[in-house]
Amino acid sequence: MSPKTTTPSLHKVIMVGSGGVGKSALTLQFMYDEFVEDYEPTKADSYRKKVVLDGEEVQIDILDTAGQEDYAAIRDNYFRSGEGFLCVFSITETDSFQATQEFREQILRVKGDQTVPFLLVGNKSDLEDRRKVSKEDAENRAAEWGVPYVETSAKTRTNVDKVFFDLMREIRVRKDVDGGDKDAPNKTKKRKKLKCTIL
Amino acid sequence: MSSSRYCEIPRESTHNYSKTLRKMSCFDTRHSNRERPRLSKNIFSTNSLPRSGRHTISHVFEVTRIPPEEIAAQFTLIDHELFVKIDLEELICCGWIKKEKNVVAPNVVAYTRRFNHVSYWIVEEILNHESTKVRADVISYFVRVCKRLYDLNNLHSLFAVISALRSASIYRLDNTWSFVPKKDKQAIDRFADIFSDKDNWSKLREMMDSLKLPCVPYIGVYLTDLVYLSMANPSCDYPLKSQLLSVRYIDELLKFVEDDNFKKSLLLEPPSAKQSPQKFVPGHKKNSSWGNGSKLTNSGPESSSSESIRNLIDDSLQEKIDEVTLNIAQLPSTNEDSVAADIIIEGCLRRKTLLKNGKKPPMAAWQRYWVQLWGPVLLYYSSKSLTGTDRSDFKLEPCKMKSILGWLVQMGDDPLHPDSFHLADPNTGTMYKFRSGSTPRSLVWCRKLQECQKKRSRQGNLIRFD
Repeated sequence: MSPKTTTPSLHKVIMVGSGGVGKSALTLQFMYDEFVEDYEPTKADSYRKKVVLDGEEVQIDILDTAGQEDYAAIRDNYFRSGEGFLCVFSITETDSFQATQEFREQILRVKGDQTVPFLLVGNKSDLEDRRKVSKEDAENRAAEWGVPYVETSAKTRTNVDKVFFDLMREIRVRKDVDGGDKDAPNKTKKRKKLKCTIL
Repeated sequence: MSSSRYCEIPRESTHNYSKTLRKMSCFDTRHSNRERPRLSKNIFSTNSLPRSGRHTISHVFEVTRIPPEEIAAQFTLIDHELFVKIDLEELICCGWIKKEKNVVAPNVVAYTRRFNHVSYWIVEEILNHESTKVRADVISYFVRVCKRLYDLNNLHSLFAVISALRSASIYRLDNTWSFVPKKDKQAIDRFADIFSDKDNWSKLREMMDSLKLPCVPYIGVYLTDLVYLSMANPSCDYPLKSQLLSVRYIDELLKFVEDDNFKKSLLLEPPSAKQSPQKFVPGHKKNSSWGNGSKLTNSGPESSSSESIRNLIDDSLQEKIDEVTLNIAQLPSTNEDSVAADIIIEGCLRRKTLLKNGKKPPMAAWQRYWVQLWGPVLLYYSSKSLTGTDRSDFKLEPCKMKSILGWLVQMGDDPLHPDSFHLADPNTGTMYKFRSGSTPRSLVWCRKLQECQKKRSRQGNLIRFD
């Protein structure tokens, strides 16, 4: 494995949330912007994009299983591959906000990590007159989880780039930490081994 | 999606297991919302299975004792049954993501539930065993099921099993996995790779493009594609709303629709059909012979009431009375050699009542019948379709029979309807107009109708002579 400096690092983002909250709309807005006519659903790189993150070129790979929400049994397997999660609900639907709790729990269970890069996203902020979930409630939940809360509108493109870039930054930080601590798990293993031999 | 492409799933040998498998609560797609019944462990080695009652496998149901091929085959049969029910409409309108998904996309929902049930059941099956080694054996067993599912091209259940083996509850069982043979773990990795989301599910897409049908597909990826397509092309979005509105629109007009339907129903099968005599199959001389004519007279009490029932369409009096007046003496002879027992002529005729008991009916309509001349009896078969003129467009059993002994037959003189002929009963003052569709055909009908009269009278003479 010769690390090529030209190969941009790949950040794997997973969209979670109930059906109809606008996950696919957010993804399409971020990926294609106004060039949605370029979108082809079956192409291998349809959900992969090169972006410049703080001056560094990186690749983002978005997994959104919109439409497969009811295939609950497949989630564990996909969550496992995710490096960061955008947990989306619609501010006009209380149920979708309730569901974020379950998604959060499932992600933590699969990842086994309380600090996994994670953003709580309240979508459809353009529909202020139909708001059912108060900003305060959402912020409280985010604070409880220790994650940022951002309100977006896929329709008006408000904060769309922000949520993806914020998440990528968290993933990058996380990877740096893990990279720096790479020997940490080995060290503990070694220690354990040592103990065993002593015993 | 009920395209025949996917439909030919091989029918595997059915076995008692199939009943048991279907009985498992987790396989019952209809009641998935309900809690699965928990059963006491003292009856079963597993608590994920419901009581199988008097069934053969009643003591210990060890899933691993079922041949993996059998489980895979039964999975496939059940999956296939659900899959072929999925309607194109459900997919086009993205109905399964809507609130009313159970109404607009019930079959997609059922297929998805089935996936989850299989997956959760397998997780339970594995976790039901306290022994690490046995849990590993169950995992290995399901790897064998996977292989068979793969051979059957059942990607739906294959993915369900893989999802179970990769679920958080099973994945974390390090001790158990240490007992699973390496080759089984590799097989799982290989199968899981098919369903990898890498490169936008390219492995699964390639496989679906290249595999040799038949197959039971995993449709989740297509569901995502459809959701994205409808999102990317809102203008092409299927007008579900307007469709639903149109349904409501029909609701408001229901009364009219109902009336129309009833009228159509009457046209298709005139009400007289109900009063038709007992089942009767021409051709089986002995069984249905008029010698057993008591059958016909037995139908008397109810139909012999002389109350005249009017046809709802043309207000004409129904032929009930005529039918009853058929008496045995008039009926064709039942002798084996009697030509009367054979059908002389048959075909599609349209009939209109011109006179009924000497009176002109207030409203008369053309009605289509399949008509058979059987001795001196006309058998009418009411129509099943609105336009068809073949035998198959009419009912198999006659709706009325009428002796035409003593009736007069005449070609019509209507220049507008050159294919018409008249049939009249001078005794009751009843006259019908028939149209056969062509003049030559009507001429044949006329001749045959006249001949049967003559034949009958000759026969009558002979009998008298004897």
